[in-house]
Amino acid sequence: MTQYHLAAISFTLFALAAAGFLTAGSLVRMLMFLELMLNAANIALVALGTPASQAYAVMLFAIAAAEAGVGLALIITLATAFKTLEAGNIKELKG
Amino acid sequence: MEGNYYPLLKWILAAPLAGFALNGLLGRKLLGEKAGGVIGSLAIFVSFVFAAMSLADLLNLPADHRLLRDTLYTWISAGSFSVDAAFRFDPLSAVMALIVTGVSFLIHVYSAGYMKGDAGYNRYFAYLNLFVFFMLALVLADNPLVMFVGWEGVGLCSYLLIGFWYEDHEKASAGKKAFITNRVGDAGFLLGLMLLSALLAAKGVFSMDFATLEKNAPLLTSVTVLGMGAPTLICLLLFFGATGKSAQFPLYVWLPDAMAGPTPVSALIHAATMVTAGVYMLARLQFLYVLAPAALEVVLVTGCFTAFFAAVIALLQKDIKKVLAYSTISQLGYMFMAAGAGAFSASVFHLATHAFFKALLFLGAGSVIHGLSGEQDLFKMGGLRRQMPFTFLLMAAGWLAIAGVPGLSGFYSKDLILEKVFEHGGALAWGVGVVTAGLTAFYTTRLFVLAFLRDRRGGAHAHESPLSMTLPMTALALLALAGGFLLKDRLFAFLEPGALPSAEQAPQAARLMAISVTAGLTGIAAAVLLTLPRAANFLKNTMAQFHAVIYHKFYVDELYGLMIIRPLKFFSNRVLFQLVDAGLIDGFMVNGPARASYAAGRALAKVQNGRLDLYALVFAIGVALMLFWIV
Repeated sequence: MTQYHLAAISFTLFALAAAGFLTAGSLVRMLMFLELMLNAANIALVALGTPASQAYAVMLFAIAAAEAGVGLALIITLATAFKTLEAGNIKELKG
Repeated sequence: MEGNYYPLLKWILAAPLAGFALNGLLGRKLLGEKAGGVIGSLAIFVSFVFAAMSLADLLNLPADHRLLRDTLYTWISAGSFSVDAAFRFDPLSAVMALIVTGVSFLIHVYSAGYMKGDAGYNRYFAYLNLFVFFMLALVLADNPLVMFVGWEGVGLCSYLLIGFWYEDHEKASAGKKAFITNRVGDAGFLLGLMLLSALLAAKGVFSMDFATLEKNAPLLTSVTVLGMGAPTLICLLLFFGATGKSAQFPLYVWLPDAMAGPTPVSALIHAATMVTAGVYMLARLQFLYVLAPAALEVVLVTGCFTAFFAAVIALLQKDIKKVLAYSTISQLGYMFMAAGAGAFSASVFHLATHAFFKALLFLGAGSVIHGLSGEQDLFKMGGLRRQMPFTFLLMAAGWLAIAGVPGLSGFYSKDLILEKVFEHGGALAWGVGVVTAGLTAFYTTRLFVLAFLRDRRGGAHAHESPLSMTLPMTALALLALAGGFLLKDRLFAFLEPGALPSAEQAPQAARLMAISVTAGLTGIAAAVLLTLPRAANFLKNTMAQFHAVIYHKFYVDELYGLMIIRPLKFFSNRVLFQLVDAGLIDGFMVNGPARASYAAGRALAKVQNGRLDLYALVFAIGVALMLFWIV
C-alpha cells in the first residue's frame, strides 16, 4: 500500500463526505460528515509520512474533538430553540 | 523704463481706500453718521490735493517728457511675461484724476446733506470711496491689466450703489441690470486685451505697460485675424467694452435704470466717473486706434447714432432723472463722435465740461427731489423758482451750459467736437450732431421750464436744500460757466504739447459755429413754446403714434426682453436647468449611482435566503473552483 493509495483513499473519503455534507438534511448528519472530512484530511497528513505531518495529524484529532464538542452544543441549543434540526427549516441567516 | 519714479501716486489711491476701510469696517456703530461723512469727504479731498501736487510736479517737467510713474510691485510674472502693479501720471491721467477727485469731492460733500438720516449712511460713504478708488486705479493705471481691475471695480461699485436701497426689489434689479449689461461689454474688453497680449507675445513683446504697447503697436498692422487687421479687431472688441461702461448703443440700457440709486450716485457715476471710463480708454489707447481707421469709423457712427437716439428719447421723459440719464447717453455719444473723428483731446475736453455741468444738473435734480420729498415727476413740479431760489439759479447755469449758449462750457466743447467731425469729413455725422445739439437744448429747456418756471402743478410742500448741498453745486456751477473758457486752450496745450496751437482756424469754423448755435437757440425757443400746456396737448394728439414710440423709448427694453432675455430664460430653464442640471447631473450622475447600488443590494439580498445547505453548496462550489484554478 503506497502513499498514492493512501492519498486516493483520503480524496475519495473527502469527496464522499463533502457530497454527504451537501445532501444531508439534518444538522447532526452534517456534523458527522464534517468529522469525516476532517478524518480524510488526517489520512492525507499521515500518508505524507514526514514527522511534521504526523504531528499535525495528532493536532487535528484534538481540533476535531473540540469542533465536535462545540458543534454538538450548538446543535442542542438549536434543537431546543427551533424544535427541528432540518437545515432547510432554519432560516435565521436570511438577509 | 524706471524714469521719473514718483512715490506720491500710490497715496492718491490710498486715501479713498482708507476712507472705504474706515467707513466700511467701523461703520455706523463706532463712527457714527457725522464722522463717517467727514471722513468720506476728507479722503477724497486728500486724494484731490495729492493729485494737484502731482500735477504741479508734472508741469515742472519739460513739455514732451511729462510722465510720472510709481511701481508698487511685480504683479504677474510668468516666464518672460511680466506685469507690474504700476501707475502713471501723464497729462491725460492728470486731467482725469483731477476731474474724478474734484467732482467726486463735491458730490461727497453734497451727499453728506442729501443722505442725512439714511439707515445706510456709513455704508453709502464706504461704497462711494471704494468707487473713487477703483476709478482712480482705472485712470492712473500704467497697463491695461491694472486698468481692467479698476474697470471691473467701478462696475462692482456701480452695482452696489445703484442697488443701494436693496430692500426695494425694482432698485435692486436695476443694480443687477447695470452689472450684467456691463459684464457683456467687459467680455469684449477682456477678449480685446487677450488678443492684444497674445499677438504681441507672438511678436516677442512680453510687457504690457502703455509705453511698450505704444512703441510696439505698429507690429500688429501686418497681422490678420478673422479676415481683418488685428488692430481693427482689437479696437472693435475694446470699443465694445467701452459701449458697456460708457452706455453707448446697444448696451446703454442700464443707464436709465441706474437712476434707481440715490441721486448723488447718479451724479457721480453718470457725470464724472464710470461712464467716462470708455472715453478715457479710447483716449488712452489712441495709438492703437489710429492704426485702425475702420474701427474709428465704427466709433464715430455708434457715437453719432447714440447721441441722436438718446436725445430723441430724452425729449419726452416725465421723470426728471430719466431726462438727465438719456442726456448723459447723448453727451457720451458726442465724446465718441470726437474720438471717432480722431480728435481724442476734444473728446476729453467734452468729458471734462460734461463732468461739470452734468454733475451740476444731477445734483440740482437731487436738490429738487430732496426739496419735494422724493417727487420725480416733472409734471408735478413747476414754479419752484420761488421755493428754491438757489437751486433755481444753479440749475439755470447747468441748463445754459449744456444747451450750448455761447461762452459757457458746453458751447466750447460741443462746438469743437462738431468742427472736428466736419473736418474729418463726416458731413452727415456733423448734421446729425447739430440736430442733436438742438434736441439737447430742447429737452434741457423743457426740464428747466417744467420744473422751475410757470405755476405749481403738484401739491407737495417744497423747501430749499441745506448749505451742504448748495455749496458744492455753486462750485460746479462756476466750473460749468467758466470751465470751458478757462480750459479750452490750456487743456490742449497740456494734452498735446507737440501739436501746434490752432491759430489758423478752419475757414468754415465760424459758419459751423453759427449754425450749431442757431440750432441750440432754436431748441430753447421751441421748448419754451411747446411746453405750454395747449401746444403740448395739440402735438401729443396730432402725433400720437410718434409720441407713444418715443415715450416708450423706442421699445428697446421690450425688444431686448423678447429677443435676448426670453430665449435666454427659456434656454436656462428648460435646457440648462431641467435637462442638464436636474436631468443629467442630479438625475443621472448624482442620484444614478445611488440608485444603482441600491438596486444591486436588493438583487444580492435575495441570495442571502438563510438556508444553510445552500450556503454550504455555494461554499463547496467556491472551493471547487479554487481547486480547479490552483491545479
